Amino acid sequence: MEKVEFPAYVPADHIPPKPWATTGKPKNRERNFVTSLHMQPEQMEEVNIHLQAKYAAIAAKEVRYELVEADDAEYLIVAYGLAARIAHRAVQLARHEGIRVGLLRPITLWPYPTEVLQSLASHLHGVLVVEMNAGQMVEDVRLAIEGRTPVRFYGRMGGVIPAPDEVLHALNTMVHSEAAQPVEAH
Amino acid sequence: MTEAIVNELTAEEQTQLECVYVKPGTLTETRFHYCPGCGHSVAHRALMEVVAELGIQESTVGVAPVGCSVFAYHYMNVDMQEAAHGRAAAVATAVKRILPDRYVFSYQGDGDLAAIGTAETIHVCNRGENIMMVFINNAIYGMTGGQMAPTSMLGMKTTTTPAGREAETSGFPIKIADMVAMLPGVAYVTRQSVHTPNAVRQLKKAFTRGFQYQKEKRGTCFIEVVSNCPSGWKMTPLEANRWLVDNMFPLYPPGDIKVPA
Ligand SMILES: Cc1ncc(C[n+]2csc(CCOP(=O)(O)OP(=O)(O)O)c2C)c(N)n1
Ligand code: SF4
Repeated sequence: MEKVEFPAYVPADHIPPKPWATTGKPKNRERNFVTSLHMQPEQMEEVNIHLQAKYAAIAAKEVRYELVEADDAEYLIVAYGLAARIAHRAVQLARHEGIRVGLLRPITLWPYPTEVLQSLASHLHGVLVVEMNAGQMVEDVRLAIEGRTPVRFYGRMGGVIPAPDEVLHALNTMVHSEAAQPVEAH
Repeated sequence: MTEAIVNELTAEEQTQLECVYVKPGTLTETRFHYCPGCGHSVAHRALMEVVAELGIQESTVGVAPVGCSVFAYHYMNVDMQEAAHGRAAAVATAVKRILPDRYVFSYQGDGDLAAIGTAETIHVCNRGENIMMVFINNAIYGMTGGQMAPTSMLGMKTTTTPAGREAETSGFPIKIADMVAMLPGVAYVTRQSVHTPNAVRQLKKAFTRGFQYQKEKRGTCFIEVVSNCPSGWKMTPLEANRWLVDNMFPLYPPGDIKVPA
């Protein structure tokens, strides 16, 4: 769904130096070797700590998602890829019927848009996760929501493409089910 | 030890000493972790002696495998890369293509090169990548505890073939050097060993030729080293070297398989 963006061309001599590269060991430097394996636990742990910091920086900076009609939403559909296009149409149909529903389309699945889900969760009466599988992302949603509002799942498998009215039907089922009544805020 | 012996000599005697055998500067000070008698140590040293003799330490880049020699880069004093299991020759391809004027080698065991890395091995050779592949064939997975390798001989007892390898269930030992020799991109294929000083001399000649052919851009050079695994074979080093001659050479005879015209 996302367009490919090509960054501007960078001439080779503008690339930062790579003193670690294995280009052949000159006399005046120690050999370089590229490895991810250290037998000294303390040394290995240092690498792990470095990687954890890197993951944390990525998680802080690289979350991407699209939010549609979420401002006044009482219900939220979470879907990505093809299912998100279908869900987008279902949101339009539902709005026609007067259901206040929005769409969260995660663009990055890691880092996951956990924070935006959490900030929306307390105003929602329910979340519907739509996927074209047996539920690969629904757990991420549940982890983010932490029980603040009911999370339902609608999925088709084997390459079956759900129609927007199917998704609308799933949404309606949730809206009218008792489980979807507002939960006590805590 | 050596120092103690030298110190017992008179000053006069000491002046007559001549240094005839030193550790090459292409090996680091790190001690080998290999089991006593393991062919990996001998092959490392032979390869690094050749790098020193050819004066190509500064322009050589190696790629280490997964297997007992996973830490080859701790011993070989040249720039080196680690690779995922079986993928050393693919990584070596990248290094060589980016740095075509460097000498690039992969160093791989039989589990690495002839089992999990078979696809990479065949296609690197089929593309005729201008690298040297060093193939340590000890007919077993040493590192993981002596399991059958594709190279294990029929009847050979390993931890996964306790009754001996049977063709019905485990297929036949794969002669991968002979297989890659059929590919037009492969320039030089030879099978050497490490079990005697003379074998090591022959091996060093093979490494020298491999680097020479690489310089001449002849194509892939594939050097099989019939080696041992005293621990995996559950033998003393001496028994292992005898067993190698009696049991491996009939199937994997030493000698050149393909030489460039
Ligand atoms: C992807 C992957 N699969 C399996 C392993 C486990 N493993 C480590 S070494 C090895 C076999 C090595 O055997 P060989 O290449 O013959 O080298 P040797 O240890 O005998 O020198 C295996 C299967 C691994 N490290 N990575
Ligand atoms: S297990 Fe075998 S191959 Fe590995 S170091 Fe020991 S003897 Fe060598």
